[in-house]
Amino acid sequence: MKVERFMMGMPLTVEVIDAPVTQADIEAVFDYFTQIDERFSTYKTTSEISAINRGEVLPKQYSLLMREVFAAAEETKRITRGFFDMVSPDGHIDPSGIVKGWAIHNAANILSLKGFASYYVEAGGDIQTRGMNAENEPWQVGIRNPFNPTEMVKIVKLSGQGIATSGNYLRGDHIWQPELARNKGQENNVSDDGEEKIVSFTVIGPNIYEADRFATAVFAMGADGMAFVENHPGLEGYMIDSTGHATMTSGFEKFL
Amino acid sequence: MNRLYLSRFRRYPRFRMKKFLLSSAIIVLFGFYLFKTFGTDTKQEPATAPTTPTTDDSNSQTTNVTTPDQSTASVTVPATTTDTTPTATTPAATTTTPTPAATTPATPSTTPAPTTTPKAPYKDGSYTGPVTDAVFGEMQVKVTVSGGKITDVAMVKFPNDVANSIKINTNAHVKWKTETIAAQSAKINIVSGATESSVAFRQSLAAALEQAKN
Repeated sequence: MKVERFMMGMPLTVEVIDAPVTQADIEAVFDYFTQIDERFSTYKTTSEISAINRGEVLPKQYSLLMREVFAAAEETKRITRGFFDMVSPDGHIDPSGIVKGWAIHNAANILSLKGFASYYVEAGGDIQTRGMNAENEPWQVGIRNPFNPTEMVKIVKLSGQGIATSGNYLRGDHIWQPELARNKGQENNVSDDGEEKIVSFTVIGPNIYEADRFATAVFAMGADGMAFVENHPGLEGYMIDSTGHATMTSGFEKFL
Repeated sequence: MNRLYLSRFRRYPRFRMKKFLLSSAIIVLFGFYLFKTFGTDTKQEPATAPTTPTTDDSNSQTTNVTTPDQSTASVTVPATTTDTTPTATTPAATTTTPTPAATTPATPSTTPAPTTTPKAPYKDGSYTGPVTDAVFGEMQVKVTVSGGKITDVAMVKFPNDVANSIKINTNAHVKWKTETIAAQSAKINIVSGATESSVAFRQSLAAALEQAKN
């Protein structure tokens, strides 16, 4: 059973292969995302994060979920040496770079706890896979062509891993940054004449939380991003530059 | 600065000079030792160092790591980007299987890694030596071996807590496979990529919010 919705400003898809799945099971996943959105959406004035940003909430009053996300953001900032930072220079807090992968991972666990073994949960191009597809093979995940988003340029086979792609898709002379890199290093990914810049960076991790929290940071690191992924245990990367060349980390081929 | 510390200097002015001389001598001698034992590719004695697990890559270097004797430490440096617990660095991976005909021909990465020497002296990994007494403080050194070469030497502890790290710069630690991207026609179940609709939504929302501002 496959259900698609548009929530949190992005398409969400849940597909479960196990036969006993019901609509209610999948609805439970979307309900979870609704709750997450209501707490963490910076677009909602009534969310907890918006209240925090208005200075209306003391740290000791933060909800447990908020503390969990903030702690995860701090750890990610430390590991990426600041290339991931949920706090912008003006002090505004936007944890969405952590919340997305974290929430997808939690949503997938809802399905696992219900006993399902083969499914995926996808939100805005970030995916948590489990088990096998309908053909009883690993999930076939396509990586979008940054120069022609209707095409796939790489297909990876995943079963249990998470995958996240950060992109800087060039469209003529208008630079489109779907993942706003507001932290240091973003100059690495603004197109510059005559220089190869990264236009797409895909990270595969042991789960979507790990893949997603590093995907944005790694994109901002520029050429050093490949080294970061290479050296980080459990992560593999596929980087596409503005000349249409792709580079993959040494263990990436196991997903082909 | 601690008053006691200062007063000790005042009472023993020559103490300071000796301290510097001795510390410098230790560093210089240690540097010489490192260079002598690790700086060349000449044959090394087999090491009794703890061997970190390496991958089963058949091309991985069979390295002999010399464990220096107790007076100095041979260590490994963790992955350069993190300061968390050290992990074993994987040996240089060579480009392996050619891509299947259906996809784009792979361009192997250009720069050959210098780790193609038949007998690299070191086994990849991280090695932390014991804390040693350097008279005016403790010393502890951590060395990283990657692709059969030392890529970093860091002093985890240094006399008088002066942070110090000697980095041996090398870029050629891994060969990455590259290719020209090309459209794939095989069936897919899911797509990973930034989506147009999410951007359009945000652009639209931003414009709407602009209008909504007082």
